[in-house]
Amino acid sequence: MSGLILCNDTNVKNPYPIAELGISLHTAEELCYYIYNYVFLLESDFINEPLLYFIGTELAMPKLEEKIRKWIMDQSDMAQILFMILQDIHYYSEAELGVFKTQLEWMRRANPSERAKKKADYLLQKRKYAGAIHLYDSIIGGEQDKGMTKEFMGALYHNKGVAYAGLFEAEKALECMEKAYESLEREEILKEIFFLCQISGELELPEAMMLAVPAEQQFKWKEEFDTLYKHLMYSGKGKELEELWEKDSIRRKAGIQKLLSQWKQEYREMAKS
Amino acid sequence: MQELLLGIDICDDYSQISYFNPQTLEAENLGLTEDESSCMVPTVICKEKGTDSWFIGEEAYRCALYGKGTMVDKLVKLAGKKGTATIEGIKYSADDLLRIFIKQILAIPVGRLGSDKFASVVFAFQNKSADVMDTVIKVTDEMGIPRECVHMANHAETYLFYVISQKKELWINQSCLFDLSETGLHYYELNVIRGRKPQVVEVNHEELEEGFSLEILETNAGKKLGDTILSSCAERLLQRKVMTSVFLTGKGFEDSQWAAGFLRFVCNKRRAFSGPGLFARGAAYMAYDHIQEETSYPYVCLCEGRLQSTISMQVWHEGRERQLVLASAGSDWYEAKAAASFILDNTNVLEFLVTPMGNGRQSKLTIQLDEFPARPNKTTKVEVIAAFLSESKISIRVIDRGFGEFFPAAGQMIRQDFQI
Repeated sequence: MSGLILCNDTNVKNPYPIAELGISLHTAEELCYYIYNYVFLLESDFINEPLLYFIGTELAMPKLEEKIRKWIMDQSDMAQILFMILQDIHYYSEAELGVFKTQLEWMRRANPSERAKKKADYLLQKRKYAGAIHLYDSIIGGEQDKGMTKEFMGALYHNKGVAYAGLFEAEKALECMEKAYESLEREEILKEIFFLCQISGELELPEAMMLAVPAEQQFKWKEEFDTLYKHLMYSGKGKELEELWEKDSIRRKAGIQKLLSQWKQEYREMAKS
Repeated sequence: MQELLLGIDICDDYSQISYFNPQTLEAENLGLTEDESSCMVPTVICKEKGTDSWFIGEEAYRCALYGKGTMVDKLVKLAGKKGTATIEGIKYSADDLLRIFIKQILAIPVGRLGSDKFASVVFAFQNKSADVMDTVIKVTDEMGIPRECVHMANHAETYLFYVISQKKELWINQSCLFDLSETGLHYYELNVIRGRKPQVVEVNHEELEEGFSLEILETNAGKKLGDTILSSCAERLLQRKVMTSVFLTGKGFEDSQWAAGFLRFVCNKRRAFSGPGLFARGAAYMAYDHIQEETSYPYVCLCEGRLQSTISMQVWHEGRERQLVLASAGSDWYEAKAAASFILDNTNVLEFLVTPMGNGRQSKLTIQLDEFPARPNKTTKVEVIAAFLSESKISIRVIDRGFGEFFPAAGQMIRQDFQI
């Protein structure tokens, strides 16, 4: 299937809020997109009364609402209902639905820790660092799944470290990264630790690491870090800031204030658990 | 209270009003007053000196004749070229004058029929000019007549509706109309094209070069000349055609005694009808049809002012591929508008199929959407709005709508006009 998908232009008065993403859904296609791409974010109570009201009344799809209710009555599991919703709305092709089915299968087979990690990884990817850390902690300290592998634990600590780095909590990040290295013993983690120390400027490279990595390798990493740093200084946000200095004092002040409030807002979002 | 179903024909020389009588199911002409024998209202306007009073029609002539006011004529032509008229030192736009005229002419059926509820009004013009039609819409908006109750038509369309509202035996083969007025001699020919479903009824219009000023009919020699001209036109146009009926209308045929030779020819083995207000009555039939849930005329009506091709798009809907018709052949171009939203699925191009009603080849119109922001597949929604600038020109606007709050719209719009 390729071409144009005709949309039913229903005027949704009350969009459906998705707290995890901080957005709202306005159309049936967006609902499909959300289910398909964020299925691991969905809690067991996702199919609830407000969602049924949104589908039946706001999206003007009473037949689908009725069908979901019937499936709930028949004790169908959530995965089956989600699949049925996607099939009914026809936003995804058969091939795409096949991929989704595989994902649902994985979720069915995966243990709670794996599912929770997937969700935490998603939050990390979306820069919701505090939320991700919270989830990683709950997995690490969780009682339900004592049989976690060394690899899995390492990955948890690594990703938690990345999240702390995102919040500029370098010490905590370093602590997690060291634990991750202990479990995984991968060179790229050492490189990340090296970069972390470079960024913070205050952290000392752990002694064990200094011994583990030859000076020549560290020198190459330093060069790579410097190049990257320069690049970041003159692109994206660095460039935005740089451009402000070229403006007159009044505009510069207003620009800095605006940029600061924007960064603060972004940080608040990252730190919100 | 009776709801008004009106057909109003506005020409540069005369305007006529017709209303659809729900009791008789016929369109009937309406004069200025009950005693008024003629239903033709001269399309002139006159402002009384020193007052704010305006007169139209015969009253306007009277006012000007007695030197009580300044008269302006040819209001449609003036509005079409966005002209002005200066009265008592004040410059009035043609729109202003047409506005006053239309308000006053609409007051006639209100007074005569005792109702100010307009259920459906069809304004007829010789040709549909967007400027003039926009003025009419503005006036009716001002008068509180709902937009959906106001429609526009040209003479070919109103003739078509007038004829197909008559008994089928009158138009089973071909039918024609001669319209003789101060503005010219017009010939309309209606053909029923068989073998298609729905049946196609087509009207071709020709403005004849032989048109003459009605002033020549004031002398016997002029009458004879007029008769000769019309007879030769009729012989040329009707030869070897199975014309079931011939209609005559316009000021020139108000009294058709002068055209004895012409009448003899057209009445030979054909049924001929002469009378004023044919276009207004056709418009009144259209007005009645507009309020019906299902049209009483299950035909594709092809004529000037109507689309000759169907515009459609190939889309996916509920998992199936189907043809989405944006505008059908035979629709009034002024009213043929469509809007639809689509999600782009592995494509960056919109294709519109143009399917002519006749035997012409199907063609494609394409719009590239490269200017729109790049997003993952299926996360760009576009709104397509199609409207017509004339019967052969379509204007398509494509608006980027993004994909909800996942991918907010950048607000870009692409507009392309195509000759079809």
